[in-house]
Amino acid sequence: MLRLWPLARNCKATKALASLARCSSTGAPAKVEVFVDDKPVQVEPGTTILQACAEAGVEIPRFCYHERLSIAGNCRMCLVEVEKSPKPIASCAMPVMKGMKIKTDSEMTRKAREGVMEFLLMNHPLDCPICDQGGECDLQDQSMAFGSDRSRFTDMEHGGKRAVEDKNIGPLIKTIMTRCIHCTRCIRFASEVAGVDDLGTTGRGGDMQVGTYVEKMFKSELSGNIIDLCPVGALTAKPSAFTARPWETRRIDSVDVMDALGSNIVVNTRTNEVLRILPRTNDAVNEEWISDATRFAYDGLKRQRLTAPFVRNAAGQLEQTDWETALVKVAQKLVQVPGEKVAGVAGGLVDAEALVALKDYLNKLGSEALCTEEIFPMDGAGTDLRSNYLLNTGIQGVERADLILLVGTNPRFEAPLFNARIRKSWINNELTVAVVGTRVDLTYDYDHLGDSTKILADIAAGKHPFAQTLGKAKNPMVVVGSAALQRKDGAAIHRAVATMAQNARVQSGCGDDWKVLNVLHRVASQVAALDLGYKAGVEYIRNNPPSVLYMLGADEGALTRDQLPKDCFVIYQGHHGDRGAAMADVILPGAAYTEKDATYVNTEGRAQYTKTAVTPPMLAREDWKIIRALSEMTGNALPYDRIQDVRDRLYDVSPNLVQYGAAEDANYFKQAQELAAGISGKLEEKPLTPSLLNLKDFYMTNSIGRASQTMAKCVKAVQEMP
Amino acid sequence: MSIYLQKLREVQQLVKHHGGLKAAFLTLYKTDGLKMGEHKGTDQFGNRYYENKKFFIGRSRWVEFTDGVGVDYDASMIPPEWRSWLQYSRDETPVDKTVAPKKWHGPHIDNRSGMADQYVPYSTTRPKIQAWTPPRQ
Amino acid sequence: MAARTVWQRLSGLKPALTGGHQTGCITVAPSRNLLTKKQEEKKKQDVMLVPYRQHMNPDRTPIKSATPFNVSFKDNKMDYAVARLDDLINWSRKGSLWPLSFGLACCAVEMMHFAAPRYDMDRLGVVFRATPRQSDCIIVAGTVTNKMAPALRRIYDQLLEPKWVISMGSCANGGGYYHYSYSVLRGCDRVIPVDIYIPGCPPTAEALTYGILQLQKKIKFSTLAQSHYRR
Repeated sequence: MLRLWPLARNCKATKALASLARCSSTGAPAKVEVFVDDKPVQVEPGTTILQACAEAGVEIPRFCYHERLSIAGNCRMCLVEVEKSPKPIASCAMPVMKGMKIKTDSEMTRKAREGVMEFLLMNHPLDCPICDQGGECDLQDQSMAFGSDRSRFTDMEHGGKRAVEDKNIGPLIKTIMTRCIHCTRCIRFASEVAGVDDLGTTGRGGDMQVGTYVEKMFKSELSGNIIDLCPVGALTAKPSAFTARPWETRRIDSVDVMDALGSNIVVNTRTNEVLRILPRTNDAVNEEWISDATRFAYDGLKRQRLTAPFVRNAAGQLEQTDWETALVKVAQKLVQVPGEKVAGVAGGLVDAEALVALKDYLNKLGSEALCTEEIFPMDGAGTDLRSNYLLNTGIQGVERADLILLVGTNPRFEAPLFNARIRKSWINNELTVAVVGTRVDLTYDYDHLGDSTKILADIAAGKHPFAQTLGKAKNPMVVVGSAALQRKDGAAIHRAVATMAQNARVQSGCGDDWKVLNVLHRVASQVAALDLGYKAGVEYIRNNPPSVLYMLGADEGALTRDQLPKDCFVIYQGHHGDRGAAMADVILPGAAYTEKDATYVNTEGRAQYTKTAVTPPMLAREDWKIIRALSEMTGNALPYDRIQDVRDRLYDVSPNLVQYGAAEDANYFKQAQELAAGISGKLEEKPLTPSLLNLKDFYMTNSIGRASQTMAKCVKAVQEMP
Repeated sequence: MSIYLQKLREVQQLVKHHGGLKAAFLTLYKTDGLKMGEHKGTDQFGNRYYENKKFFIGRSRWVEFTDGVGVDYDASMIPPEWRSWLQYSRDETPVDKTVAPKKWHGPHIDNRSGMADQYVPYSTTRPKIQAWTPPRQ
Repeated sequence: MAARTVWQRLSGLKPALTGGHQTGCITVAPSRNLLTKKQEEKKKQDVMLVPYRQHMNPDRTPIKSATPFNVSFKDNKMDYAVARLDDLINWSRKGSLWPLSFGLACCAVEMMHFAAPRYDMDRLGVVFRATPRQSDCIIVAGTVTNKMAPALRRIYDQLLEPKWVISMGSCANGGGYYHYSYSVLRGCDRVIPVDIYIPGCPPTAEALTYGILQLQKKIKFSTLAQSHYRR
């Protein structure tokens, strides 16, 4: 069932169409033989001519066709000649037939392409020199490859070229609508992937316009992707407008840290400056989309940065110094206090290398007080069993699921691409979604079971009618947001969720390889920190007040100065001057995620690494190196000098941390269940409310986002624009 | 024979002019030559300027650098008004005819390259990174 | 700069050494405060700014040591030996700089003047060589075009260690008059590391002479043996 406007939601007839259009047919169908330029190719029935050509190694030019969007067939660029067909055929929309003879380089095909290109260019402005798309423009490239070599456009006196007024659709996307060639990719993306039916067309023929009907903002957390989708320069990025040409930039593959999904990105830099961030295709994580925070928060990397060490002087002011002074000051303090009075807190953007360095160092000093800012219940099996805190099913697993229960989470803003996966599955795979928690707009329909924790207990006990639904599902998923686990009764919530997941697992008979319990984290560092044995939550530090507190990028304010002893010496190491830096006695400037080779483990336990795209600003250094230098000054040097040594150490602690690209799965639900029996906590009455409810909450979730002017503009625009 | 005696006398005079055998030897070591001439003046740094018109132009005016610098002298230690005399741009020394200082004249600074206080060109480009400034309390 | 810091680092190891001479000994050129007067002026009771020179007879001024590495023999014999070895190496190197003539434009004419009898580069031990294999220095005299840049780099790579680079004239320093040209390298330091920049368009032969002297001064501070020994 294709749940997509304009196709009626419950119309059974659409099913056949959907399978024809994009789904692989069931069973093992016989392959169809077609001939692409007289070369025989075996393809599955139902594939389009364009796909068959791609299989044969021939790329058909296209503007409107996109693999991850529905087929529109309105640009006509993909016209090919098919033998016995009187007219050229739009290959993107035509399914193959047996024995079809496709000619991709015949006279007719070439003439058809040239004609289409001429029509497109007739109303396309010749402003390539001032167009931001220049260099990566499909129209530019394809007119070079397939267009005519001369213009027949002479109508300068009368009509001239078509001109369309630009639309204001928010602070992220710049529109130059005169350049639009009406491929409708943006419209299809908005309604299919983003789930926001804001974009559409008005008028027809020469008067056709793509827009928002009335002037309004394109309010979506995935809005930036239409910039990549746009084959011409009609939609370009506003924050990076007129900064660089694509051929001038260096592209470095990296990983995002704005949420816990670890979207794969390409960092575009020039002259040691991040110019923009683009998605990198990874079907297991982010397909080829990224969220707006990922794409546009990079200007936060250039503001409010810690560029030199600071030491608090006698007057209580933070004073800029050099590395030696700062490190000596810290080392003197660390040598004075007993080891067990030292504590460490890790924030949400810290990489695994820095985490392991800090842990090794503090352990060497004799401290066990290493915590993360993000809370995770430590009762029962706690963080000892990996399956307890991972998104076990995996992000790709959503596409196999037929029932998802979301508990106390708003995946749309906590993990936008996870939400996009759910929506994709909801559209194509008849996925049923149920939610326990505050009612939020998730861009798809769901059964709202309520927001009380009592419902959780009922489902876990089998008293709620949804328990039966859960039991009947073939591949159920229960996703609990880490926001819900921040509460005092987090342990009880986790136990209830784990219980219902285990029950569902047993009842549905989905087998051992299908996991039901999923935890959706919010910060990038959490899984690596828990893998390395950090204590989740700062409760331990509150109970055992330290003399020296080492804050590693801890900016969310889990610990404030009031909760620490008066004479507590606070060291902050991180890349932004935020809440953590303001309360510190010594600040050691670290590197942000674009500035270091670092490992991040995403919420499904997939280890990925970032690469150095730009150098850390001024005196800032890579985080693990700072801790390594400090360890040498206090006389217990850490045994690693190179990044490879740190990664060897990571391998010793937990091999999955350096098995890049792979998600090591964990499967100890039964044992966790047994251990969880000892949890005594009770569920509280408070309703389950995720922390991010509206789009305006989405933009500023960490220190980079808070420093970013683009993100501030987004928050303002969301509140003010219609 | 008398030629040799005359040469010897010249050497004797030179040595006397330079203040003894040892001092003369020092000057020879520092400047690679012993020349006798009329002392035309001393600048504010203690560099001594001499002239002897018996030598041809180009060698008839010279400087003995101040004693403090030893062999580490540098042409940029000569202030501009003396330099113009030394290089025959002017006929009169600054002692004979003082140079009226212009109001845009700064104090003379020698070339500090290689020193701690060397001139370092400043950047005119906008900083790419805006640094955090700690809040005042 | 590097030379000064190296010296300070060396002296920093022996704080007793630095105590005595805060002034003239460190510098290769006089500090602006360091004023020594002639004997007759001194009789006028001029106040000396440097205390330990007050009771010193200028006539018997000891020649300031030509070495920048003031290591005492008594303190550390090995350090002393290595420092003297460095002095020897530096002396021999600075005394016979053989530059590769890399004349590219009008600066080359001034470079020829420098070679001619009036400025007489030979007295400084400078002899032009026509092959990088026999040179230890390159004088980039003139506009480096984009087309010449790879050749310049290759020639630089062919020079034998140790090697120094003098960038002569505005064009070699930063593109100069042709900075905005599409075909000119905006400074030869984009291709090779430069030791001495000589300003001017073109610089006079005197300026080039001065540049050579500056390079000699720089060579004098190099710590080949000492840094080897310390490592």
